[in-house]
Amino acid sequence: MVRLILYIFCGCILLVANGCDGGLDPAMVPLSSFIGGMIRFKGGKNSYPPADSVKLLTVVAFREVPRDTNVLQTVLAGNAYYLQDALVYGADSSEYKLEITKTPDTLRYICVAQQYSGNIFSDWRVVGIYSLKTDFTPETVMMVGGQRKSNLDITVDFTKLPPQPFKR
Amino acid sequence: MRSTLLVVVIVIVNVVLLTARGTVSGVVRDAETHEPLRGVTVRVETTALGGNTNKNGVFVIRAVPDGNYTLLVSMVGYNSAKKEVRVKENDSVFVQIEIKSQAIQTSEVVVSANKRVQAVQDVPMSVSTVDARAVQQRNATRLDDVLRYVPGVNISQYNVNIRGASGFAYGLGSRTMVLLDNFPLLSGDNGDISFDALPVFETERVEVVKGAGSALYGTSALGGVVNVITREPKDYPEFRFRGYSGLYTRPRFDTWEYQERLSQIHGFDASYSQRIGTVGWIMSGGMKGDDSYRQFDDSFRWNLYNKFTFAPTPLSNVLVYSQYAYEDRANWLNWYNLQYATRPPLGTNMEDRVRSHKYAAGAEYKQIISGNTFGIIRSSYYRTSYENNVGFDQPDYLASTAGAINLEGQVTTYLNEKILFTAGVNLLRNDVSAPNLNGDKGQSITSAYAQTEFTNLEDVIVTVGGRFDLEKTFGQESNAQFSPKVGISYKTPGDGSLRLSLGRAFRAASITERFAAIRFSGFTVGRNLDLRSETGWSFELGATQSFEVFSMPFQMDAALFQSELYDLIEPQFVINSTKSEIQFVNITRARIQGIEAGLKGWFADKLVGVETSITAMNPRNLTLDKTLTYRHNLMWTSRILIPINPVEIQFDYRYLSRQEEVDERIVNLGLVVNGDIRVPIHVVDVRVLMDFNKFNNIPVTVSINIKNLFDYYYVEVLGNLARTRQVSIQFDAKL
Repeated sequence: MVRLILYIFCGCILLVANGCDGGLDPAMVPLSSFIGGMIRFKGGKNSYPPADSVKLLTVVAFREVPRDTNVLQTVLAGNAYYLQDALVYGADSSEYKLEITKTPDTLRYICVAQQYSGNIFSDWRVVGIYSLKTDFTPETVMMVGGQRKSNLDITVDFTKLPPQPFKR
Repeated sequence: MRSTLLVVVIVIVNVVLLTARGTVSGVVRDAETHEPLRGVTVRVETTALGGNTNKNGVFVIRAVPDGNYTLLVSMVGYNSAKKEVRVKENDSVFVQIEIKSQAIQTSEVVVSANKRVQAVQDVPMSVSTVDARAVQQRNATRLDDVLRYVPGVNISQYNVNIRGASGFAYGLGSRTMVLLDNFPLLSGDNGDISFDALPVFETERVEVVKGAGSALYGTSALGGVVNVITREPKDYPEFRFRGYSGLYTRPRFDTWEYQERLSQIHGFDASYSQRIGTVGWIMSGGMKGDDSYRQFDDSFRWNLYNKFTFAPTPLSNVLVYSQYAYEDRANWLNWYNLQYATRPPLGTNMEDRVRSHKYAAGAEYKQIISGNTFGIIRSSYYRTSYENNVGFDQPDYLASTAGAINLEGQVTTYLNEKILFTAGVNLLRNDVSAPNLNGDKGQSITSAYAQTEFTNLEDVIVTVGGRFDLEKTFGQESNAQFSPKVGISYKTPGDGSLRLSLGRAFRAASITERFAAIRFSGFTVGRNLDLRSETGWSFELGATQSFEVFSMPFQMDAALFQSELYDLIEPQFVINSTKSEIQFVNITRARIQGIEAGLKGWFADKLVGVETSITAMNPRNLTLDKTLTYRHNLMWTSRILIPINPVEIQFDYRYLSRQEEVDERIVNLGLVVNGDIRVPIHVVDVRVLMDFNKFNNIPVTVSINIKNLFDYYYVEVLGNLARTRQVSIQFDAKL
């Protein structure tokens, strides 16, 4: 009986010891993936809307075509990645590099989004999308761990905005 | 003149009451060796009377009114015992009591559940205790070091989480009421717990009452109550010393190394206590330094503690305490990323340090009023202040000074032989001065409570009570709360008990949660003047059974519990066009259901002592229909003792399942890089103790402590690496 209890006891110790060996490891961090490219603003500085209507200009990569103008909520919910450093107002062109933290992932709508008024939750419009066609059809980009795609160029024409994907 | 008159009245009352009373005396011995035991606490249940045994094991309790009583006998390292006595007027009763030495206690005496001394088996709620020996052996230097080993309890940074009631709230608000010798010790501004403010070295035991406790303790007792009971002065001079020194071992990963040398810890505590006649005192102080296992995370603290007791008459007792704690620590919370988990984020101000001062003082007067009636008047003041050194004009400037005054009066009386009635009034006043509050702010909570315990049925105690609280915070409408409770405990035939309890609890939002606009570890916290109190109901059905297997003592305990929580105040990310900030809002309706089961006892002819408890929960956020954030669904704590005289080997093991949910928004916004990476928690602590007193009568214990033996890496809150392996040697002496 005593021997049995000691065997059980030792078994528990080994089980616990096995579970305790490890934990967090830097290797758990998924290999960084990045998308990037050049954003060209057609018409240059003079084509920009008035500065007070460009509260924020940033790149957003959505997993699905966005149907809701609450872009921020989509980011908060983890369904989109956004460029934390806003694009500079008035630039003729800007390079961007956006980290995709959860790979593998599929991005079905990559765009330049403009917050045009004070409500960060709703006042968004798309001013340029990553598309290989002239009809603004969004390209799907698939990303795996460690992958870098740096040729996802976007053209922004403030005078000819792409069709807005939002339902409201 | 008035005070002189008051003293005269008290003396006359005591002289009158002292007449026609009996005396209970006796001797307490070790059940195996029959040697008299020194320092045993003997209390008369349901009264404020009690005493300690002297070096001959003898105790004397005078002025015991006529009646039948139960003596509760307790001492660290021994099982508690009960003894029935019959006291007659002007008579003396002498009793002989033997108590069994037991490394794992299967019965305890507690005071927190019903604001009076009683056996834990009579309490209708789950109560866990940690005794002084366990505190000392684990080299606990702060209260959180103690609470991490309590079944059903886990710590998330500065939040004590009892059975899932709390998550992580950026150091603000506590759903656990914390008491020091029954004096509340939550700060007036944040309503939080300062673990370093509690005199752990002077701890006699820590009591953790699980479930709603507002019916007696008012605000903050939503998840439960933690009461730190300090030692009583002994009737002989006692000098105690503890010193320790150690280091953190080198991390396994190169990128986690940030310096050549190993980080160190060191510290000491010293204490002197004595009772001469009716006057006793304890003076204590200590210093602790910790280089930390993380870069720019070092801390230094010291504390002083004084306790003074005076029994002007055998019917009255005065307690006065004071304490001071100072801490100087670096101020960052989240890592740079998992690759560099021991370093702060880029841009962290390495000069940013927070210095805090905590002062507390209190006085308590206990008086036997008549027959089986006693009263207590209690008053305390707790002042906290902190400030960082970044400069008043900087956005990260952090400062606050708060005072919390508590006044309480309580009367406990036997209405007849079967009905015990407790009632009291309480006034709590918080005042806060902080630059980010937009002016000084105050909060008052006025309360009255009453509770009746019926023992009409044999072996059954029915408890019914309630508390009314009226909260008034600066500029806000008054908020009234009524917190009823009902409990039943039943002693089953064969050394077991059943318990059932239902109670309501609430927590008033703290001043900081409402008014402050501060930055905490890189996060901006915004004000919300519309916060309401959070409330909840908790239910528990539990059973305890003691038994023997092959003459080995065991005790099993099991409990089913459920909490319904309303208007939980949770940190919420609120983002506008210029900034993102955390705001505290009433958002969550939650339900927590769970089961807790524990076993303690001895195996293999007392070769191995085991204490194990598992808590399984389903903490649901009903508002979002998902698991509550920062909760563990499964918690398992175990302790193994292997005594090989004069050496004892001890293991502690903690398992907490991976937190299902954290605030992913923080991660998705990129505020905490790799914040979504988390693992289950497996931590083994081991220590080897050598008690020199056992073989050559030198009152010294030397122990080697290894905390986190397997150097298991984990987080308790997102992006915050928990303590890595720490090895230390500890020296304890008692003269």
